[in-house]
Amino acid sequence: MRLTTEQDNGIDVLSVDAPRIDSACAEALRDAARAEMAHGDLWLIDLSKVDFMDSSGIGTMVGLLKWMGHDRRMELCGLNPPVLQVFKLTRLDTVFTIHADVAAGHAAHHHGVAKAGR
Amino acid sequence: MSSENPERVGSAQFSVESSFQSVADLAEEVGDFCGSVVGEAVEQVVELRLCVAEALNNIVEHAYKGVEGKPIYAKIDVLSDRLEVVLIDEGMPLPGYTVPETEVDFDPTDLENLPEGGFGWMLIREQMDKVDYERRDGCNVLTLARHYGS
Repeated sequence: MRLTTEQDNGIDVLSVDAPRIDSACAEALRDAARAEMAHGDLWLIDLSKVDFMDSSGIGTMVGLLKWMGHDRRMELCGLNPPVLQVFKLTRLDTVFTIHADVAAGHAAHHHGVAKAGR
Repeated sequence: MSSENPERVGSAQFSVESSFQSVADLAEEVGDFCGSVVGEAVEQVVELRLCVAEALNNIVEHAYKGVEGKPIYAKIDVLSDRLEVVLIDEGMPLPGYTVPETEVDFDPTDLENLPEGGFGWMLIREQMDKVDYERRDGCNVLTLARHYGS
């Protein structure tokens, strides 16, 4: 598993480069993601390279969302069908903001910034 | 339900020692095997892989209480109308000798109280057509089956 981060226009993106997020790597992901996301008010999590996620992976995502708290945002991008399916089955798709891809995540927020600036 | 004499089109057996890494690999192998027989894009293969992963996680975490190196055995039968997996371990039995009827209920707006676990059995029950548990000769025997095709 490899995590990469980049910042663009005030939005931080964390990309998870791993084919699976499961019980074998969930804890390592949680710790590494917390270290990467220590600062920044808005994080987009790019999951487009992840083909499989089990309930421990989804638990990790919930844990990160709670850890971010009310003052910071974490949104998910690029969920492949098997991954999106787990969010739907657990109804956690109602908890997370989910974008089709990172570009859509950026677009959603830049639109918001433009509107707020008027 | 199932046809009376479904033809067996493939079968495989795996044996691993308990650890979160080995069961994650095993779940992927089960998915790959079923996919190689019926087609990896078949949605029931994706569902079965997830449910096998969840069931195996439960074995490592609860039946073996996180102890590594304990035996886990998996038998996969691909029949003409369904995928069937039998998982066997020598760990602690399921509480009450039955598959838990877990419903994870939560308020999506209540951030602090969102559940981070407990989804495993719910995912298995929601996706599998058959979930059968038996305690046999000191072993846990869990059978999962999912119909596929038209």
